[in-house]
Amino acid sequence: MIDDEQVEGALSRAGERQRAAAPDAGATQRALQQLHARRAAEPDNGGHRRRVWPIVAVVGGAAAVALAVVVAGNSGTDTIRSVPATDPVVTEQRGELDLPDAAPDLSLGQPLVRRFDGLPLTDIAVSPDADRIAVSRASEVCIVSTSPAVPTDADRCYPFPSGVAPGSITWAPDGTALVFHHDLFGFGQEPDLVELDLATGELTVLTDDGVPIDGDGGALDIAPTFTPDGTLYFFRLSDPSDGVQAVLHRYDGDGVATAIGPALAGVPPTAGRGVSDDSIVIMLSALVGSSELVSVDVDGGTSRSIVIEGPSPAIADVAGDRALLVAPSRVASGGFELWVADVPSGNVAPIDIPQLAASSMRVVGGGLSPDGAQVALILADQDDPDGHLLLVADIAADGSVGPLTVLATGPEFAPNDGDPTIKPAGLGRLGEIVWTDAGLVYSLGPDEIVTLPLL
Amino acid sequence: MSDHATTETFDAFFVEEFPRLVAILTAWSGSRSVAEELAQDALLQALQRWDVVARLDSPGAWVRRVALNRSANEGRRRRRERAAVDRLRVAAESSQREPTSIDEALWRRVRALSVAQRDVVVLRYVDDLPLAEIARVMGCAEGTVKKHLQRARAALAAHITATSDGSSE
Repeated sequence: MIDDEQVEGALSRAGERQRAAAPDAGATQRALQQLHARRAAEPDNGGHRRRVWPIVAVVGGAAAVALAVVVAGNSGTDTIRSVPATDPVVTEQRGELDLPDAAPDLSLGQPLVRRFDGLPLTDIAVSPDADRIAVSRASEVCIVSTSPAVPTDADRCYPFPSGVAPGSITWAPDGTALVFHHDLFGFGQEPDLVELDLATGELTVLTDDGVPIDGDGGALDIAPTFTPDGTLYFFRLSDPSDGVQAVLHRYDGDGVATAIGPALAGVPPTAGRGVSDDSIVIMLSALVGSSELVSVDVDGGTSRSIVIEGPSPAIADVAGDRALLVAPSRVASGGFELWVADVPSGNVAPIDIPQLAASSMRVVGGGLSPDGAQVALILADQDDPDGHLLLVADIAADGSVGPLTVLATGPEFAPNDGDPTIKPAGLGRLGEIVWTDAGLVYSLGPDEIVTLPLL
Repeated sequence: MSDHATTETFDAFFVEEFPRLVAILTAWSGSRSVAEELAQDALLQALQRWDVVARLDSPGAWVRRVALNRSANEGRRRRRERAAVDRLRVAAESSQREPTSIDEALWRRVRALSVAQRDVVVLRYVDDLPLAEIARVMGCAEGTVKKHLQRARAALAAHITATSDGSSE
């Protein structure tokens, strides 16, 4: 065995000889000519490979082929499908991704892009079996398939009378129902937990106390979360006149809920919808100069707290023992800053994204892998319709985030198809990425969701 | 930028970067043929997106990252190696001087390191980049680069032995 200095010397000498053996000027010129020949042999599409995707458009219930975009090397064999007039899904497109820099341990299938006409989407949630996606907006909740093999006329929507968007959609573990918080009737009452039976369409208010949001003793029930055993938990925010207290509750059925754990102070809290083993994570923000990430054990035992000085982040995702935190950037260029909080160690590590400094890139979406061991980010270049990146990084045992690897590029990762002239509401918030064992589902803009299978 | 001007600026970029990329990718992959193909692929990607890449603060860092990402894709690399081996059956290897066998033994040890450690070693010792530039390529902090380098050297020290001529094997 030799010492560090000898290793340094050996590497330096070997590196020098490697540089000396590099191609000389003649070989470099020949390689350059070969490269230009390869470039000339490609279809001239402004420098980007193009593929043609069949797209179905439905306007006012009438199906029509609206547009054929993108794609070389694809015979266009995808089937154009009709969509019923009552279906809210207005367009669909499928195709292959450009994968120039695919990471070694993840490979992607064909994306399924679905657009929604009308009111903006507010939330997405993937079913436990990853076969369906629930999307919500002010008027309704819709269930759509993640499989291109399932026709869109199998989609089902459940209209709401109130015009108030549901929040924190959560699937029951058996996939038969959704629970969310919602002001069902829109009469200025505080949000209650509502269950939607997907078979019958029946809505059941689980925690209705009939108290207006500004009334004495009002309680806001938010952030419902099922643990794997099927138990429903949520946070109840009480007594807004005296500083909000957030208390974890367990729903026991028949309108009865039991308080668990301590009252957590902070105004207003935001909650992740993930469950870390046997605990639930909540962010208490808007404390002066700092925020607090709290993990509460569902057995009523201990809670763990991570105080974050400076920014006031919100939880973008929770998986494993980790939370992905996001806050508006403190620099003039705008965008978002992101951190990974490792709950057991208390470490909060920033995610360094060098691409942001080198271009007009902005983070537009983020999410954690199911085990919390990786993070996925989507960056959109507002000056380049095709300049979008899907980045993935490993998260080390201490919560620090490794180098970001470009997993894929392309307009599939752009809000509103990457049209830089459109400034969708999605650019003003962090888009959601729901990462399941089957793939990625993301919503970057207000009117579309993309399903990207992992092979 | 006109097409002519675009081609001129890219060609200058290619002439500067291609030899360096081939050097680091040869050390990284162990195959000169694979390295030349990976370098050309990465530079072709740069040409395809030259209007964007040329505006980056460091197009060189971008193309290194792309090249190393491509190298890390083992499946693609194996396919390229197979293709390269096939080509080698009918064409002689480059006439350029190859590294010595002692070097090859060392690089073989380097290729047994983790991907991140391998990246920093070839960028530091073959490409001769300063730590700040390696951090830019890797998309991480300088401290992380130092940590990878220290761990890489420690791992190498455990497996190589000093020789009488002052080199190491």
